[in-house]
Amino acid sequence: MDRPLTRRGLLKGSVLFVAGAAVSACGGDPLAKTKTPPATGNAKITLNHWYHEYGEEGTQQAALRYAADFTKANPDIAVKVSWIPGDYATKWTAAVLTPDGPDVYEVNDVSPNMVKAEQVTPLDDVLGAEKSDFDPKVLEPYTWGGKVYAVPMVVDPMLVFYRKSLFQKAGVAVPTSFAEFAAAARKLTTGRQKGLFVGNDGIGDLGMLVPWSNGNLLVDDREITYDDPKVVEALTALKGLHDSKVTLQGYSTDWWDPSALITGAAAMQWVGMWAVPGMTAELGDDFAAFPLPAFGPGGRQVVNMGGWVQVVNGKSANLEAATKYVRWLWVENTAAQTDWNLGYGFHIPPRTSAANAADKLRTGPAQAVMEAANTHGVKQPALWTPEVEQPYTDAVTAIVKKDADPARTLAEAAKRSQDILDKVPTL
Amino acid sequence: MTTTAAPARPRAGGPHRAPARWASRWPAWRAFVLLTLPMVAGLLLFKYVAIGWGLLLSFNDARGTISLGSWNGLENYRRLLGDPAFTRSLVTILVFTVFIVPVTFALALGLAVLVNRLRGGRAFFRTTFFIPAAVSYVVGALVWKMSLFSGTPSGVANSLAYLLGYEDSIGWVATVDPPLYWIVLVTVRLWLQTGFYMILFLAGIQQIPAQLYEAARVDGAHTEWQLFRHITWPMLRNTSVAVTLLLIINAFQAFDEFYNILASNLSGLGGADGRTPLIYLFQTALGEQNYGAGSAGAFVVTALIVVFTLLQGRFAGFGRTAEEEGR
Repeated sequence: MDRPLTRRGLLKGSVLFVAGAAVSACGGDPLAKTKTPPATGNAKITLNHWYHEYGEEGTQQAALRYAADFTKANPDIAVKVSWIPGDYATKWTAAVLTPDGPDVYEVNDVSPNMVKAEQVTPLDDVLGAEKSDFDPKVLEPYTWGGKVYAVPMVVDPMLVFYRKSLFQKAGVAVPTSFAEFAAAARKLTTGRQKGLFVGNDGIGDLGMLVPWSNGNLLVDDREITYDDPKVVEALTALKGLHDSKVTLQGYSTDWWDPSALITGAAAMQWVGMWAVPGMTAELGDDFAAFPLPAFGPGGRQVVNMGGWVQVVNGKSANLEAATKYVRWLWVENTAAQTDWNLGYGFHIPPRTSAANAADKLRTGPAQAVMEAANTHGVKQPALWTPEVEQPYTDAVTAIVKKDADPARTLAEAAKRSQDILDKVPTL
Repeated sequence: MTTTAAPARPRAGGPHRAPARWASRWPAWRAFVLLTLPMVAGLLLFKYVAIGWGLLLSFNDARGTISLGSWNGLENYRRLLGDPAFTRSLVTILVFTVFIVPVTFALALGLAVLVNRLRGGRAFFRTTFFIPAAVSYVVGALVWKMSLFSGTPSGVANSLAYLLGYEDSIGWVATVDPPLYWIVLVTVRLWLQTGFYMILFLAGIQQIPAQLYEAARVDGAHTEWQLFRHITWPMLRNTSVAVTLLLIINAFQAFDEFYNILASNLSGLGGADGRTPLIYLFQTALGEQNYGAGSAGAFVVTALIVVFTLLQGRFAGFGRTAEEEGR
């Protein structure tokens, strides 16, 4: 180079470079992992559709494919799919406060506060004539003041999965009471293998489920019911299980991932039916499932029926297009629903007709799970909101892990929960 | 402090020259306004307006909304202070602060003194100790949770326990009685922040003139401890006060590592143990969508930080000039 770089030249160059970088950066979407399906060139409306990050491979591509198919059928409406990793709940709760929030998003529960704040909108017209094809038990927690505010997308039964070979080796049979369950966990704890994995804190959802199995759902409509000897009895037994050091704690993945069962870090694990394909791939037929056993005489077996439902933001500027899209995808488009529920992980398709036609759920462990779900499925009461639940979970930790007096701790917590529940608006 | 009288400047102008002087200063003013305006405007818009809005919101029943209008007086504050979970979180953070601030302070100061005394390799050790400060709290927390203190037999801490003859694998994060989770939380914070404060102390130490040490030696200070006690420590007072202040604020705002280490569900935020006020408020505002109570809590925590800072300033004499000090 015959012309040396001057200071001014360097400065000019770097200013141009920074400006260019800034301009090109502005073109991007601030939300990582967001993708717009192709062929949205002349759409008049763009809907924002949010999903939490489903773990199964191929789900994101499937979501994008459904959106693109919808635009093909309705060229006026483009759909932008956002795949939200990590703590999804806090992200949608913040986003729906702004005008740029999602038009269509998924949740686990619809609370009266959400209805009052218009974060959801009635979807009875969306369900239309097909409403009778949905299990009323599934729709019930999303119904307020006679209106249904959600369309179920996936139904997820959760129960205890176990390794058949490890049961055989230890000479353990499928337990029929909580005492047997705890004894099995003790017997299955050998060397570096723990008997049971329910969550990294060692309690997981058992704090709620064991009382359920003893016949107390903790809340009954607008009344807190957990200040009860049955709950005391259940939590005392849970404390016994915890103290015997047979639960796996602090594993690298949490309870919703079957890795602990697959690697043999635990012999039993509380997990959902979604994990069945993954376990089949790794373990062949060396696994099966059973509901949480009835606590004792007078109790009941429990399969926790979770799942995700689709809601439409009541403040959406494109309400009509959004409801049209939800009806097209989650009510009419049974092919997409079947693909979504069975193509990746296993879930129960919410439409009864689709569930009955699902051949994949009629073989192997999935069939047993389906049967257990049909007879022992329990849906969490609608008013057991995070706010109402918090004093209870604190009480459970204190009782199970820190020797707190069960009856007194529960009585105090129940008073708080009732206070909070009383402030939930009636619709 | 005494100042030598400045030499008398030539009287360049009386009052009548003032406009011209203003005009000649204008370009500087223009530059000042131009350069600070974006910052000040941003500060006003994104901080002060937001803070003001938050204050108003804390007097509203704002569930699922952040618009004002449903005034409920001090109800949110009453609710918070009546909630044992919140008061317990305040106690948690106070205990944490009382523990972590002196420990970090002592470690950082000790490291700084040691590094400063090194004959060779000072830059190497300085860098080595400082590097963790460049690691994000989230990354540090996840390494601590999933690798060092994982509950599996293959976790580093458990492998060590195994070598020492302890057969059972310990769930470090999940064990609250005895509270083993504090070991995880405290070590990660010490590892992450000690290096940074060490650099502050090191900078302070290097500002101390070498003559002072020579003079002290002449005056009969023989041991290293005497030199530290009578020269280094008093000369570091301003640095110490600043470090303590930063440490207290940081401790009260503890969130990242608590959130990442203790949370165990998709939207859950861990249990009652190790729940700091900010985690409690995060849960209230974003988990339960109770933005009114969330804002109220933010002001309660701010008030606490202010009180602590003022108390600390009172005892350590931060911001006092040397003259006031002399009185």
